[in-house]
Amino acid sequence: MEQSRPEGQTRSSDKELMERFLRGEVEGFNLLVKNYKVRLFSLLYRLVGNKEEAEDILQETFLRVYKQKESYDFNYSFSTWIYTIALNLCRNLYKRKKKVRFLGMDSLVNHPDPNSENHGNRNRLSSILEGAISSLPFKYRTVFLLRDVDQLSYEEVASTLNLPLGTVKSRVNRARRILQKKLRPMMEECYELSKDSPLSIPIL
Amino acid sequence: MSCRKIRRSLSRYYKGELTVKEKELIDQHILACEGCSREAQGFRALNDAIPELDRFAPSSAFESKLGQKIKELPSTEKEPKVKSLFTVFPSLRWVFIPAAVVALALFLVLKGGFHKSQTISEKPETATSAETSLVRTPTKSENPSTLTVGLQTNSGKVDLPIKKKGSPRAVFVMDNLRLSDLEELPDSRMPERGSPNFVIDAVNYRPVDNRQTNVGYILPAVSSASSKVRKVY
Repeated sequence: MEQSRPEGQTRSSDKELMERFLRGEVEGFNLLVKNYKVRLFSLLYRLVGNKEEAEDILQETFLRVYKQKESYDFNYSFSTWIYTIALNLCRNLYKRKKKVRFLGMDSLVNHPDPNSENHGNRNRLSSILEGAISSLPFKYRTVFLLRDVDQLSYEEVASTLNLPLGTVKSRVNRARRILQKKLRPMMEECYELSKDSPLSIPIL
Repeated sequence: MSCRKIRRSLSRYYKGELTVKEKELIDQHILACEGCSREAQGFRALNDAIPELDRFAPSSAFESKLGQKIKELPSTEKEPKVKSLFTVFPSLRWVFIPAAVVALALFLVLKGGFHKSQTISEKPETATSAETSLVRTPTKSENPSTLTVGLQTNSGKVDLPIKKKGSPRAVFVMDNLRLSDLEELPDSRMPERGSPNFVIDAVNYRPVDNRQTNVGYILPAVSSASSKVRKVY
């Protein structure tokens, strides 16, 4: 279950930080905010498609961690707990806004966020992928982002979303197939180019 | 392995989620199958594009806003709070409430039984069950060595204290009362009709109509009643 985290934060360190926080050291909480804010904000932004709403949910997520610190169960990973809180808040918003278009990721794709860490380096493929992710149905988008972007294990995704493991695996596979279909035309262009080019473009 | 099965496994192939044997099978297949090879390109593109996705950061004011919200929290939420037992074990609610009701019922029953046993212990040794209705528990202000019989007269209720000890134990005839006025008394307590002597065996006897009567006064069996006993309670 232990795997490398996007920001190099291991789960045991998260637990140590929570222990420090529970002992009254606010620094433990501050470090958890630092470690998770970008990861969670990216996820929430891709789910709700609105920066202000994503930030509101993130604020509320950390506030709940702060207020409900005693309810954290050390038998589970901290990431599962905080992702569960964030996604529950996100789902509540999604239910409220279900009748209107929930995602505005087109604006995100066409107008890159100035806070983006890779601003200016966006290549065409990732741009297409960003758009493709935004068009995924919510249930597929959530599992895909958790598993393939945030690199949670299947078990963690299942635990976070309170879904059976088989359902998670099936949804992740389905999401990948949908995205693959969206990306394939671009790759086929490259494939045709590689056939005509005197220089072999390694595709596989 | 069929193309269909291969294509179904391609996403896991690029994620390294297959066994070595499964991976070898797919390697061999896509080298020989152009259709599956093209299908694989999409998955490879997906796999390559994921790390290139932007990572978005909240606004620079995010942490200061969060800090402000934390400062505004009520102090009870800032400090660790003792969790309610019902919060930790919600099912206890459905055990506790019936248990509390049963405990209350038991308490009331036992309390009633206690008073009853007290009353019985205060009864004259010779008293029958029929006499119990005539007896009430003495109040604190009353002499504990007496029992009290309540009489309902036409001028109101009268409590007649009667000595618990001594012989005769209880005589219910009061001045100006006739025997016929005491018909509702249990037979065992009924003065013998026509008996010349009835002993008032009540230290603090307070007769009806507030007339003083001497303790131990022997009353005639029949007198002209100005007050009539309606009921003994």
